[in-house]
Amino acid sequence: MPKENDKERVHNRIAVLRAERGVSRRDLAQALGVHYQTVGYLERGEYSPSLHLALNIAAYFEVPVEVIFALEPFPRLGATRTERP
Amino acid sequence: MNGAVMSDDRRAERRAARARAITEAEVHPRWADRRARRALVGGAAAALALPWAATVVCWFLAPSTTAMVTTFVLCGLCAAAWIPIGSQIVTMTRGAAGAVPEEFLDERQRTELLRARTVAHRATLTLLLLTGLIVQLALPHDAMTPEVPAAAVAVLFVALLATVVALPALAAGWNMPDPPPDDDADSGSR
Repeated sequence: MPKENDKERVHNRIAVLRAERGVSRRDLAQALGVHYQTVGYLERGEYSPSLHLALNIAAYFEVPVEVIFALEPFPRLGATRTERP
Repeated sequence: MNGAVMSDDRRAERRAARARAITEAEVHPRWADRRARRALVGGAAAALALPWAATVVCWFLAPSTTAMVTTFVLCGLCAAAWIPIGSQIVTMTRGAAGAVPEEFLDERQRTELLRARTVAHRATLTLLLLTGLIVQLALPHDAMTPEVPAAAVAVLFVALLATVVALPALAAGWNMPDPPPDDDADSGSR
């Protein structure tokens, strides 16, 4: 599967949420009803999910869909924090 | 009636188990490398070229013992090479080569299958056009009804059929992206 065009790319935070919740790829895949490699491709940004799958992922993590998916890259953790003197 | 329902259930279970066996199969780490996958697809293409070579032999030498023996040897070699290579391609593409019914694939796998079929369809059209053109050029033009050995036509049909059947698997294997590592550091993150 070729890497998707940057214009059409949907960025996501699945890997971050998965690590934070301590969920394995296989567990997440099983809950979503997809192959575990599909979760890997989603995390690598090589596959953009359907709206149905995106909503299912958001429901699984119990967060709004825009917390996980965005058209712009997500800021790195701590990037907006003001520097202390 | 009850027996028929049970038999249907059992059949559905068997189909699901077969699909799972393919999509969840252990894939040799060597196939995680695109160059290795493409080399395997190249090997499959070389095996599929053998019946085409047999067609050429039959076209010029049939009917003769040489043509018959050569055809059987080449087609036998093709089958012997295709069985291990084809099974590796089916395993490494995990259903994207069309070996698993669509109902057992997720949306990404169905997209890959569709892409492989699209490429295979285009390649089939090109192959048919080229075959038609080459046959037209190869036919003797000095007679109103040119004669072609029946064996050549039969072997050509076999070569076309084998190639068209194999094309989706070849396309899937050729275009397959590098798979993500199996559950990477998941065990560590738990």
